[in-house]
Amino acid sequence: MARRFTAIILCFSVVLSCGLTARAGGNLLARDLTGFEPAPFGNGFFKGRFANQTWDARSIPVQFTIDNDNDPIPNPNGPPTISLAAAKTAVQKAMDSWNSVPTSYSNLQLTGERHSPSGGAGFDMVNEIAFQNPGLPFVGVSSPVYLVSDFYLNDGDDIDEDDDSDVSAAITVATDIDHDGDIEFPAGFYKAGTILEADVYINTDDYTFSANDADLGNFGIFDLQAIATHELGHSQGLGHSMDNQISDTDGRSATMFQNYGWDADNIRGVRSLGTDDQAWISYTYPEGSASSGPAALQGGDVAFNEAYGFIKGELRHGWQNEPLLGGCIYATNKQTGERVVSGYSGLNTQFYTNPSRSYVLEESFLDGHYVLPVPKGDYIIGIEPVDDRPVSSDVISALTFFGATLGQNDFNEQFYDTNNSAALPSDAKSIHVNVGQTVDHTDITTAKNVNISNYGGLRFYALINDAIFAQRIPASQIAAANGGQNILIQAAAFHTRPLDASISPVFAEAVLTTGVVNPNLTATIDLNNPLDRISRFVGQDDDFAPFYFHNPKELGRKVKAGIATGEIQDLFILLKVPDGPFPGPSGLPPVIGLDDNPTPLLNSYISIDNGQTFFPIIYNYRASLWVSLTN
Amino acid sequence: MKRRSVYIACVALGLITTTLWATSRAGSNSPQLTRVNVPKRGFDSAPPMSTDELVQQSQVIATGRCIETHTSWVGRTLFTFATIQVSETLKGEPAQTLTVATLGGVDMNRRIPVGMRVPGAPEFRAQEEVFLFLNPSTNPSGFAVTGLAAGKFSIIDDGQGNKVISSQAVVAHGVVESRIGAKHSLKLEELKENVRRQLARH
Repeated sequence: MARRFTAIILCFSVVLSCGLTARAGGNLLARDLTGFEPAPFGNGFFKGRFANQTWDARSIPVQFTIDNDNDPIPNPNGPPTISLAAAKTAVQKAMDSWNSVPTSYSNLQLTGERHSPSGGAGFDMVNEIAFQNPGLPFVGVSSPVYLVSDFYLNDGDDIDEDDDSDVSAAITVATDIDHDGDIEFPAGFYKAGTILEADVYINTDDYTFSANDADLGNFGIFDLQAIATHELGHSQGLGHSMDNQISDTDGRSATMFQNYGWDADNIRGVRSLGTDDQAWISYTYPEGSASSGPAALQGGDVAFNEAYGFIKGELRHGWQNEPLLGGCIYATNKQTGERVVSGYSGLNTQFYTNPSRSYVLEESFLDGHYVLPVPKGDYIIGIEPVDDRPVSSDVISALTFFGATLGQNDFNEQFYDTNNSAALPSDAKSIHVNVGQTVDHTDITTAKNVNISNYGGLRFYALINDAIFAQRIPASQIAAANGGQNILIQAAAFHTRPLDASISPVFAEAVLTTGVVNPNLTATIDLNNPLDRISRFVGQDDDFAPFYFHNPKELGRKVKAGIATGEIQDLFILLKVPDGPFPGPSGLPPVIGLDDNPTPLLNSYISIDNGQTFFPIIYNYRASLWVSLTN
Repeated sequence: MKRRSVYIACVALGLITTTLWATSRAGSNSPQLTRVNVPKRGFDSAPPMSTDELVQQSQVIATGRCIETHTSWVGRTLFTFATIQVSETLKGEPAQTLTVATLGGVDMNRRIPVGMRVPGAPEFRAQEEVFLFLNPSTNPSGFAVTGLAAGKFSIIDDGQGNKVISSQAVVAHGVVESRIGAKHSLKLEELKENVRRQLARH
């Protein structure tokens, strides 16, 4: 086999864990360099794989102290807004959110207060909640320190190199046995990825926080409980989720979604954990997975294996014919339409790496396997690229960054069918999962699609009442697709988003039709004879939302014939803003993304007279026509 | 033509009402389009930022080559430092080299080797050519990338002799793509020109 080496800078960590053998998306990844096997090309590189960042069961409960340097806690933008007591209450509520998941044995405890030196205490075997900027402009941050190889910790070992023993053979549960303020680990074997310490920094040097419900949704005031809940997810080894829209009627995000939405309902959702958060914390710390210790069932617990099953499979990249790394897989409940959990592919990916975090991948190292923990139910399995929208690949994991670097993030949203091929929604097959059951071989190979896109990077969003946004797809581009051969015209995709994070963006309709550009540069678009149309088109939150056409093959044939005869000059894909009033605190309609192209392509139009006149605009809508090749 | 109402800005949403007409011929009856810069803030990492935002929020904008990276402890916190040999400074005081600090790294030299990684933190590799949006950092001293990874771009050769920007955050101006994502990369000079235009505007 040809060896392909790809140098990759980067990345952070993520993927799974628990007492289970598989790894998956949902967790922070650790570099596992166990054995320190040198790379054949030397240069200080070692062979590695990914491990989950996770607390060993002997470290449960995980004990935190809170920074008591200031009471009240300073506010850089005005008078203080939080007393230390209120901060402790908010942090305790954040811990309670995680501790109350009945299928997880994770347990966080706030055990005391301590002074936090300027710049943070750093790696000192104390898990602290600190109110300061740790040196970088985060709102909050928690970046656990972990073992990079399997290791046997001996009695007396000094893990943080402060001339004080951090390991004791006299204990079986991590605790401050010598009462000097830091935590000692029980002696014994620990796996690579084991978290040794996890500080949480709340950046009160630069941002205003509140613990008052009355401030929820106030722009510029961060909710301490929500931020703490998210950061404590990282402290337990969870990574960022892609889930920022639960369903067509619920726009709230998972707690572990990257961005903070200024919307009280969404913030309340962040405080309380979503199904994705609950699934991954339970997968990482499965309740009932041991007969003794914290993982043993106790009063009020529910065994993970009696509440969840698994969906497993492999993603492959159709164009490149290779395993797909870092693709996002998600499970939607067939009955409710709610997105329940998402993860990432590439469980068994290997790499060469050096201390400077450069990576080298060999072709045989690529892997596309995934696992999703799901409650009993019927699921539709979808995939989406981690392609900047709604978040970029480098904020998820090294795996998603690998996928982006290898050019694998270029597929469209697709679904599982029983033919191991990517399907449109109408052909998607549902999967039934019982508790304790693993449904394996749920494999998807991405389709060989071609997108016709005429836009650049995102510049801003367009907001206008009663508007119809229209994007021209020149006939010449359609004719050129697939070298003039037959095509399936599958979907129109629009970059949409709501202005309120808890709202799903709903447009009055999406339309595919024909039209012409007039000599005065306006466009005449045929709204009376659309090629396809859908009412109540549900967009996505800061992502491309597809309007799937009803008969792609017939549409392709019809358009190709129309272009050949001159009957069709151009196609237009349209998005109509609905009439108000609009849901959400802003009361504003959903918006469409426009680009930063310095040169107008004159393919984007707007009408505010219900389609009588379409004016060109100097920016370009971020909208595409998806076509696929036919046999 | 009946003019429809246009939503007026709400400061928190950063709405700017503007006219976006392509030509004066078409623009005589033109409505106004409201631009929305929806504020987002990462909990612990930054969302992709537009060139406008990066220019406005950076004290230094420069291109250069990463000539060295190393990981070391600052106090009891692990940082990775990249030394950048500057080739051009578009904003800020010109300097021959800049040191850019990112939180995290791996220390394999300890008896008990450990690692730390911050989601969203940028990464550098030796000899990588980069386009950077930076701000001074005091602890540790040096510079931090604006918006974490959002303010760091790789400069690569497109195989046809052109220097282009490599980042998912920069999607260029597609025509018909041979396949999804095979978008034309933004040329280095285009990004420089875009930055200069923003600097002139502000």
